[in-house]
Amino acid sequence: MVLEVKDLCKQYTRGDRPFYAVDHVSLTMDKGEFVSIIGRSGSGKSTLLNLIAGLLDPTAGEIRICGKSLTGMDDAALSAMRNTALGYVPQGQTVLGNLTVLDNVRLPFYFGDRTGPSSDRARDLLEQVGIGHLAGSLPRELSGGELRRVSIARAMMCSHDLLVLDEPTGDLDPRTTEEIMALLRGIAQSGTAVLMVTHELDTTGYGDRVLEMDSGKLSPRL
Amino acid sequence: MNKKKLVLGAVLLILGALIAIGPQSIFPVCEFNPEKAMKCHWMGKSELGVGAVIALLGLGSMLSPSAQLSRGLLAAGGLLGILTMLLPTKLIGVCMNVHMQCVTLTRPALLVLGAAAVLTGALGVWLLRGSER
Amino acid sequence: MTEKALSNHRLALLNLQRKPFRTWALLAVVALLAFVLFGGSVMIRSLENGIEGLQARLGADIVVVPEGYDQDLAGVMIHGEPTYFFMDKDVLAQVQSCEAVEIASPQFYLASLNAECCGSSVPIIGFDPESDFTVQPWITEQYSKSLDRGQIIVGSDIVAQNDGTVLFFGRNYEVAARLERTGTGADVSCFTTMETIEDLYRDAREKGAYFKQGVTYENSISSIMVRVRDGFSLTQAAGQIRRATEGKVEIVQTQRMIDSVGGSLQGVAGGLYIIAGVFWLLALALLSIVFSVTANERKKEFALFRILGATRRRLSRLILREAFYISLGGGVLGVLLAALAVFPFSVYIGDRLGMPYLLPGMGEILLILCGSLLLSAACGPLASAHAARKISRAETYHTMREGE
Repeated sequence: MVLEVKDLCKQYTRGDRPFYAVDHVSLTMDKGEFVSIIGRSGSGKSTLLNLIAGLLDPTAGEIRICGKSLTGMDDAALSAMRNTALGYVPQGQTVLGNLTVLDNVRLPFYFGDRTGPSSDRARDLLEQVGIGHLAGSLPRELSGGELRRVSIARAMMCSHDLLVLDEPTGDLDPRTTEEIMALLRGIAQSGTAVLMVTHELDTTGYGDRVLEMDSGKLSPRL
Repeated sequence: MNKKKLVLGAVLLILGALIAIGPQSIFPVCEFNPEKAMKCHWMGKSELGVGAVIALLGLGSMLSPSAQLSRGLLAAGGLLGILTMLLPTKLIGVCMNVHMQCVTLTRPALLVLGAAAVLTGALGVWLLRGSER
Repeated sequence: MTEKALSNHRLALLNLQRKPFRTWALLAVVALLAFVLFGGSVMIRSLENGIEGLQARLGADIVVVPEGYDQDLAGVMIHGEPTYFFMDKDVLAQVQSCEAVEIASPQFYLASLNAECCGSSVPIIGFDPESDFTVQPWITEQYSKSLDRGQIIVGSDIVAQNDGTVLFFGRNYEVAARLERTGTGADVSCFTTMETIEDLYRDAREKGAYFKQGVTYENSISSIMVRVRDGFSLTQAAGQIRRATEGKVEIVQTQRMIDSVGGSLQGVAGGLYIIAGVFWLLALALLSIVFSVTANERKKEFALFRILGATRRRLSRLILREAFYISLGGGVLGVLLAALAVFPFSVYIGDRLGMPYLLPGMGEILLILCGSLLLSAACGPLASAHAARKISRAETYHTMREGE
């Protein structure tokens, strides 16, 4: 089991009223599985992803990634988990403008206190996401779809078990969206579990499973 | 447009202008005495010429269409920086009295400016190596 | 192709490169601070050094000069301004007769002609080798033999002719030794024995130098250096001298002369230290503001670093390192510029200040250099500490969203 989420809750207070942004959510994912979660904005899907990534502390429930529970992990352990077990592609454009494409992809390698060569692995990943020829370019020379590919390659630099994407096609045109989805499909087929949240209905066709999130509750889409 | 040659040329232009007019105004040599004209007076006059040429080389480097030409002009400016330093020390010299203004003010100012010109020239030769435009 | 590791060092440099204007502006602020710290400290220490030199140079407790010439004495001692002033030689015996006076040694002052020697007129100070206790002790540091007739000791800034002589009133005098720099009037003065002064006096008369009526070498002296006997206060000694000379002379207490110079120095030094302190706080405040503003701008970037696996520690170290590079770079730049101002122009600064001014030794300059660099380099990390703590504590989820 790559990902196990059990009875996960995240409670916030809006005004004086407490409410659940994530309401008793359970989810498991196997190697190579491709899961999409759809939902309107404010339905709690980004909060769920941030909980899974260990960026937020849950109010209740448990998350296990590759068998290891996130509960009680300190900052160093959580950072190491994010660095090695989980590749996270945040919402929006997050490629660093002052680094080359290759250096952007190499970056996570050095956050894990590793030494030694990293370029070969990064080049392989860029080939895999189809932009090997852009390794030496600066991000401002790239299109939106190419930048998204850079983010995906970067997320996979040190972690191949689980790839988590927050609205990966939010600002892309339909054709590019289709290409990115094909890429993610391929990544899933090579063994990496892919979890994606989106509010666009047409992209859900790519998932093995499609779940719907509404008011913090997760349910299979009918 | 090569920004480096523009900046270095501008720096050289300013340095040259200071070398030229400094000994007459900003850090003047001793007062001119027609009965007994002192060395420092003639030294100041010759720096007027050297500084003017350095300033022109700087201007030329800013305006030049080719980076390689700029590189040559900057190098020439740097060499004239050496002349700037030699005039008040070896070639002409300044007054004998250690507390005269040409010794305490004009000479060190020219040495600093000359050294800066040499540095600018060397920087130009280094930074503009291999650039075509 | 060699690959460079993306260490904090490299990331910090890349970030600084990305915002060249911000980087240069901050560098300039710290450079200004380092300039004030280093340049100011060197100047203060040079002034203090000069006062110490003056104290050592004066040596006497009391100097007796003709009435109304106390300012001229200060002019000779501090600035090396040539003067002529004389009093009756009988005063010497009167002063020596006082109980509180241990030693009284006469001096005779001349001034060289403008056209000769050094391009301008310099003081020539004659002393009596038998009784002298103020000049010879520090001459012996350079020259241990006794001076022959015709030999002269010159201050550090007196330029001799190529054959090692100086020209006074048409005659060449052999330079026996050159004194070390003191920052006082001694640097532009010449010293010789009374015998040689006699020759100089006769030549001066011949060349038409002006002496007041009645002044001759035989019956005149310029000043008397007095050492007070142990057990007597300066005031007692001054009182006795005043009575013995019937008040016809000026009695200068050298410590008061030094205090009048040193007093204004303390004002200057205090002012400079206050300015340096204010600059330090200003730089700190300015840097703090800029760092917290840019940290806000860069929240999204820092959140991304967290997502990619950077620990909080790593993140705050990156911010501190960036700030450190700016402050270190600015510090080096400022110290370099200050050195270019303070060292080549030290004589000019001393002349303009009109106070004894002597650069400190190499060791002390290095100490001031290290101190200035330390204070400026500390500025960056101190100013960014708050921003670093805040950014590394922030919940990543929120910073990611806020940054959008």
